Amino acid sequence: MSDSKKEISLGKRVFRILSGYEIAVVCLSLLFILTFFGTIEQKWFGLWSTIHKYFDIKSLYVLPTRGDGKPIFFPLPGAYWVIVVLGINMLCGAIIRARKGWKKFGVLLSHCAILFMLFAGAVSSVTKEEGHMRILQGEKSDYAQKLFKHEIEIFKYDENGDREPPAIVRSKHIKSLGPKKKLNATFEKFDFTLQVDHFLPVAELALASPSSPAPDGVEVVDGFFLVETEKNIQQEEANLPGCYVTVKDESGGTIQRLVLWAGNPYPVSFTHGGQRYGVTYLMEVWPMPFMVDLHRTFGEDHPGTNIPRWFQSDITKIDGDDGEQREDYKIVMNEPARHGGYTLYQAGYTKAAEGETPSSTFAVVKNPSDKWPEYALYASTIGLLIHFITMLFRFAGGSRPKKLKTTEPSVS
Amino acid sequence: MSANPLPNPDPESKALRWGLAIFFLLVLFALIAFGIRGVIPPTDVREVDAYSPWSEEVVEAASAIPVQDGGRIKPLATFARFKMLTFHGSLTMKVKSGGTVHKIGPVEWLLDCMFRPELVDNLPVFRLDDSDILKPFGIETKDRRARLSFKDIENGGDADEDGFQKLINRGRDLLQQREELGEDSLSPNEKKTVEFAQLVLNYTGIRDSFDILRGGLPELDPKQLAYVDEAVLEMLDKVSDPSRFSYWMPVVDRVIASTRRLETPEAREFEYELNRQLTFAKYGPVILPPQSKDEEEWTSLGNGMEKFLQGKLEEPTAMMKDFKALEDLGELSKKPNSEDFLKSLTAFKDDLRERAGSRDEGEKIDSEVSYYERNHFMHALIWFIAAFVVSAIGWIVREGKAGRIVGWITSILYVTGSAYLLAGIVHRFIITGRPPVSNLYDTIPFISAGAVIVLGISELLTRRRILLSVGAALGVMGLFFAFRFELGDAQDNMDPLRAVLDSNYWLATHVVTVTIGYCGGLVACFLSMVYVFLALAGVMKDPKAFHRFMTRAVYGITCFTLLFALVGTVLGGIWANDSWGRFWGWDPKENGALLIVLWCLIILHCRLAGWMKGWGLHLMSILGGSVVVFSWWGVNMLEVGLHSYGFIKGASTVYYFYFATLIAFLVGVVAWAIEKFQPKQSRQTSPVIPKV
Repeated sequence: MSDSKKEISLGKRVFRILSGYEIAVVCLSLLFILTFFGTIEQKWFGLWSTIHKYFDIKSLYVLPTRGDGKPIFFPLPGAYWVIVVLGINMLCGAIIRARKGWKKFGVLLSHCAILFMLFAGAVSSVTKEEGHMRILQGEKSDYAQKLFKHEIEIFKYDENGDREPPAIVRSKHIKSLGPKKKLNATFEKFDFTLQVDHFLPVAELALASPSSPAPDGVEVVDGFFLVETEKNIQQEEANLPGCYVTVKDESGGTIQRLVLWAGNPYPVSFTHGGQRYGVTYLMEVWPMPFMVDLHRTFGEDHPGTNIPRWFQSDITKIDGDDGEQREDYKIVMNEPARHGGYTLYQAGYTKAAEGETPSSTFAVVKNPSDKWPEYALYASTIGLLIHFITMLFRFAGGSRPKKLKTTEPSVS
Repeated sequence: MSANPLPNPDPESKALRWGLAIFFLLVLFALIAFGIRGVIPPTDVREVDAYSPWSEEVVEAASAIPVQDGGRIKPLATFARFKMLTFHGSLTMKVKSGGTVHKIGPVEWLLDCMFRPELVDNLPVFRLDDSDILKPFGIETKDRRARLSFKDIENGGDADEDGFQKLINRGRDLLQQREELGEDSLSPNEKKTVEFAQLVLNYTGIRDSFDILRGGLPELDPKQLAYVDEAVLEMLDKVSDPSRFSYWMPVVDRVIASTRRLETPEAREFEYELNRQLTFAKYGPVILPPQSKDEEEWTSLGNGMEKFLQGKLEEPTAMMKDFKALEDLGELSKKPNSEDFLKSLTAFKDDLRERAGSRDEGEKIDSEVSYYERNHFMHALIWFIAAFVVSAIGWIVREGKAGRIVGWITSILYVTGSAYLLAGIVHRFIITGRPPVSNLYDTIPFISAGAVIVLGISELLTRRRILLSVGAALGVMGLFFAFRFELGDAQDNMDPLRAVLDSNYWLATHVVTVTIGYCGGLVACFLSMVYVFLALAGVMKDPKAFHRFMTRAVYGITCFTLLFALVGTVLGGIWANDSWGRFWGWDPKENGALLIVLWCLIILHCRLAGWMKGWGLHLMSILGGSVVVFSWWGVNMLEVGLHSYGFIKGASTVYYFYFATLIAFLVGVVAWAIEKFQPKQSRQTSPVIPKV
């Protein structure tokens, strides 16, 4: 026996461990516990924060806590990495190592399908992009905005007061700043630099007045200042960042000090070298490779209630450089428009008061693995059905009381 | 049909079997008593002077009056049913008058609200679970849990303000506090006070909405109006009586303007009353179909009057006609069981039905009235109770002809109960026109039916009577739970769905599949519970065979649960992808379904690894029941996530279930330990389960 043990190479031993039931059961149990705590913590910390805490790729470990922050369990590995290990275990154990044969066909097929589903999830988590596109009826749009990312746009006004194409300070550069760090941004097209400081991830813009002055140590710019506010745990999109910006000339002298807040829809402006510029802090713009023309948006509530019965948007997707490729779509709840890797969902619509124009909001998603879970579902269902129906027949065949063995009179 | 029940009789354990049968019967009766506590109102019968009941014909005619409520056209009986549940927490109340006890149902109560406010204020309408909240308003009750009439509330208070005014003023202050400082600024008792004040206010809204029909306007000489608006006199409906609203109706806006200018006390009182009646008339049932075919919204009497006064009606005379018909009904209702009243009511109902029919609306009203009258689920409950009782007798009388007869009777009762249960589900499906599971209430009868059918089919395959006993018990529990949920929720469970849910394809696939998964998990849990209790009692002559059978059954059902829970969960993800643009969002409802899948996978993989034999499977299966209930109800109580339409508050029954599974789990551990530490020669061997 010891000889045979010696014959097993290290690689094989590792493979055996990786493909063993032990890993499978531990991973499934961990995932169960993580999912349970990741569900009940949502009561206190909301969906968004909890998802990031438990299921994000960056979460190597998590500590389940109560609403008051006190731990209620020992630290656990992050769910994302548990799923990765489980995926490896499935690949090694249920697919490579498992005995192959017609009797095992159902099990093999369902494991392959689930592995493919996990792979779809991994692809989605790495490559998926999503945003929202709001269009007024009768208007067109060729961009969406990302709800949770905010960027600073700097642009020049032309002689007519229209905006020229902007320079952008991306969200990823800004959000890594704390209240103390500073970011210096230079632009090829402008002869000034922008220094971003005092970044607050959740803030409100307040007006300083004698009755409500700014707190001590908080800078007031043009009568306004930023107040750090409590995070809205139920609605992540309600958490709007703010920051202060200094526009500096080439010699480092201050041209203008500005306060920016993502909830302010209007640009703040400054003048440099006789030219007027504008700065806005807004949701990251995501350009689309096509134009969406919203012809009509309409819907109905159930009579006498405010419960929506249905809503619909009729759009034309305009593609190509000359706009010759036009396709009409009808988007309703549960029936999105899919085209070229992009999917447009009806996320909401605004009824217009008299004299106003209704608008539609579409959720736009680009996800290469969009339909993969569906294919995986078909395969896993077929696999499980084959396997369990076979088992059912074996169960039914073996469960009837054996009349001959009983001492009781058999009755028919 | 073979009758070879597995718990083989051991003459020595006859006393134990009797004990067991009695124990389970006691459990059943405790369950029934628990259910009845919520269904039947307290036995104290309120004395109400001069109360005369409505005749059956009047109730029948009123029941089928079409009403628009909750976004659909439904019978007045349904409207009344859920209003009464909201206020009273029960579907009947008893009053005593002249030595006779009268039972008042929802329609009778609504008719009293409409036509006999002087009586309805004496009826014990309000269910109160904590009388402490009313003490600050000088409203005293005999017990902590009580049923109060409006008069009881009004009689509280002090010399300055009656109890009703005090309660409403306090409710208003608390509401303002909540708006300014948030929900958490109110104590639990303050929250209850706000809820109760709103309830009482809603009641007065319904009661006073028909004041406009009752006549009795203060006296005002129409000639006085001529001082300020001479033309008004010519336009009044002289056919009517000045004490009735219809007299002033054609020009009621000008009448109000004129009385305001008269500035006499009589005119002021008259103007106040006209305005009050017009305002409250808006809060009554929405019973008038729109005149235009393009419109979908029906109107209440008050809203119809508003449109009439604003000149927005295509046929104002038709509105006048409706109003007069109702006013006549109000007059005739002074003799509630007279032929004339019944004739007028029937004519009014027929007219409304015809108008609704011409708009292709209200065609299922009769079916819905019949659904609640037939009460399929109550019949099913009775048959399942009978099936369980007879099956319990079968545990004792199992042999010979008597045993066979008991077996047959159990089967017949079981099948009849199942047929009633299915009839109820199908009837609901016909009325709503959507798949059988489309809201939380629907899941309860559906899961009960699923459990009953799965166990019935298993019985057919295996011929073990124990499965019919478990099936009947599950049917009883499920239906009691359905009744309790309906009473507590007090929301019409056939109302239409919001846009995101209104997809018959997804309701029929994802929701049905995942609900079947819940059903499987619960059936496995109950089978394991039964097993551990029987094993602890040690009443089986052939415990090895029984152990093998039950373990195989639970294992098979766990596989069944995995299949449906997995497919249902992934289908839900695909639906979410089509609705919200993401397949998986770790939303509580999604996580709940995933927990069931993971639990089943843990069981199956532990079994494959050889770490779990029969006992482990049963213990895990019992805990699995809690996982299913957490997914089915628990996550809805968290009130977070995108499935906001399924949120619920305080479903206390869920906690009883968690407690029951914990007890069963502990019993199982004890039974397993006893078996494990028995002398080796009598120890059972683990059953053989087919390898996956």
